[in-house]
Amino acid sequence: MDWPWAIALLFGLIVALMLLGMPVAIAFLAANIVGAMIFMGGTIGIVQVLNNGFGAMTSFALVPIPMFLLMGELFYYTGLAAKMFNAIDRLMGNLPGRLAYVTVAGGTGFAALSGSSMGSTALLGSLMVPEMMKRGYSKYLSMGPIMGTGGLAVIIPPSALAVLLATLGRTDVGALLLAGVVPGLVLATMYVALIYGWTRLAPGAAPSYAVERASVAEKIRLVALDIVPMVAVIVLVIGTMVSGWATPTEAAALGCLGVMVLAACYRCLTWRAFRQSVEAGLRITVMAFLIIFGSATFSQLLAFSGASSGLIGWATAFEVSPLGMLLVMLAVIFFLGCFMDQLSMMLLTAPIYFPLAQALGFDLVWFGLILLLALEVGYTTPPFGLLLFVMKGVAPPGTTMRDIYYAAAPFVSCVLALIALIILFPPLATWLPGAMR
Amino acid sequence: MALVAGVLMVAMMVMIVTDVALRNLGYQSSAHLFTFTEYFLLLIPLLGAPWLVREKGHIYIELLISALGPDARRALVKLILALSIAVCAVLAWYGGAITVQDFVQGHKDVRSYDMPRWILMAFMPLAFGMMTLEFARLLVRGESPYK
Repeated sequence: MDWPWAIALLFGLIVALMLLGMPVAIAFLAANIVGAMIFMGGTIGIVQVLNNGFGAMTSFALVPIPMFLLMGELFYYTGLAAKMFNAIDRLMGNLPGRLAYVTVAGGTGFAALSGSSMGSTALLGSLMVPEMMKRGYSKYLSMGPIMGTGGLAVIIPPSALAVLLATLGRTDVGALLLAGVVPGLVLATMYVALIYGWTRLAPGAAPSYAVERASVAEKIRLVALDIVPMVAVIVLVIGTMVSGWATPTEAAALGCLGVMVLAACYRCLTWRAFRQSVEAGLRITVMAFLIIFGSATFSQLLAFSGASSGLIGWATAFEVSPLGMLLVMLAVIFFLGCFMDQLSMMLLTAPIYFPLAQALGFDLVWFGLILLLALEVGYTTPPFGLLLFVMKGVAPPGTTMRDIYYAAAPFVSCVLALIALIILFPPLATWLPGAMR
Repeated sequence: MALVAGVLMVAMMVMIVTDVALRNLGYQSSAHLFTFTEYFLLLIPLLGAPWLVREKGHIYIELLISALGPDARRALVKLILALSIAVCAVLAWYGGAITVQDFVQGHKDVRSYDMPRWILMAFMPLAFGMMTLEFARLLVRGESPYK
């Protein structure tokens, strides 16, 4: 079979099954079974599917994923996350647009730890939007920051998606995690500037209202008790990794332990909270790993059938600059983002994208970071981004799709600007991991 | 099975932390810890997957399903369940075949420790077999696999 047909068959089958509404993991496995029968010689192919799954799962590089997820759930179920939210809220005082900043700060922390921007959008949407609307915030300023936080969460450590992408691309997990630190800070600054500018230009979007002023002593107490310890755990995770004292896996496990110790100190590590955290962490881990199990053979089938090399040869034969190629790759992601979640998009594209990026001479860490951001943008881009529909689902009645587009647009633009910045100034992404070597 | 998976996940964390602690206290840490962590990584999703079918936790794309009328939706869900049962049953069958073969031929998974491979492989037919049953249960009850 010629490679264009192989590609059409493999991608066509999987996308068709997914669109039909089959669980994504099963869709991958189904496409593998059919693909393996055709390209790997009948039933031997199916044996191969299982053996590949065995090999792919028992890979030490994936260990940080369940650990990061467990850490996030512990943070949430023990109530430490809510404590931090409240403290940030109190500290802001009378600043115009206070709740918007709180959403960005708290939402980023939460989304990064929970590892799922869909989940955190749903949670923050139902939690913060009614509160902000009640205070007279415009609906755009109420919903925008929530959709913006997802973009931050995928790149700053601890990001489970970054671990997976690095594993798929066979690059250094630690390097990709660290690469996101500086761009993450840049993006956070852009968000803050955006909200500041917004509340200045349109003061009506965030009416100020009297809040109980916290005294200086109170503020110090809040910072010392409710913020510093939580931030310390995140610093512990990044710090041990940066200093080379622990591998990403070990840093993630230490982070888990850190949150548990912290929760125990606040006397909120109940058996119930612990069980809930493990269950919630397990839920996402199993869901994600089963998809990874299925996709292990998928990438091999692409290689086996000649589809990968055919497509790469075809793509590089064009007289297109590497930059042009990169833009085409990003455009494909944006398109897929209309109907797919990030995990599926990543597993579908990575087996083709990383070899292609290598052929084009890209720095893989730099490329991986851009890909992560693009995955998030694809997810939030009008008119069909999945996250927009999640937002619509939890938004107050009477919110139209158009409202949500307008709310998301400024924040999506920030992420796009960041992608452009990283393309123009690669050191933004590569400097920190390079400095650590 | 899911309970075991949850215990394994916590055990994994404890093992890694112990490993770091031992290393930094100057002891030689055991290479077996490393190997077992990798095995746990395989067992956690396999043990948890059937439970997740029952809990309706697998992700899917709802674009088409939510756009259909009730009758068409019911038919589509039946089709999806039937396909899912077929996929899981095929994998359970061949998983069983590999397990038996590994057992008979005495294959070992050589890492820090020579683990008889069939012990690990046996979890595959178990997982996919149970998933087949869970999907079949949904089909018989006329339930949707989605929330």
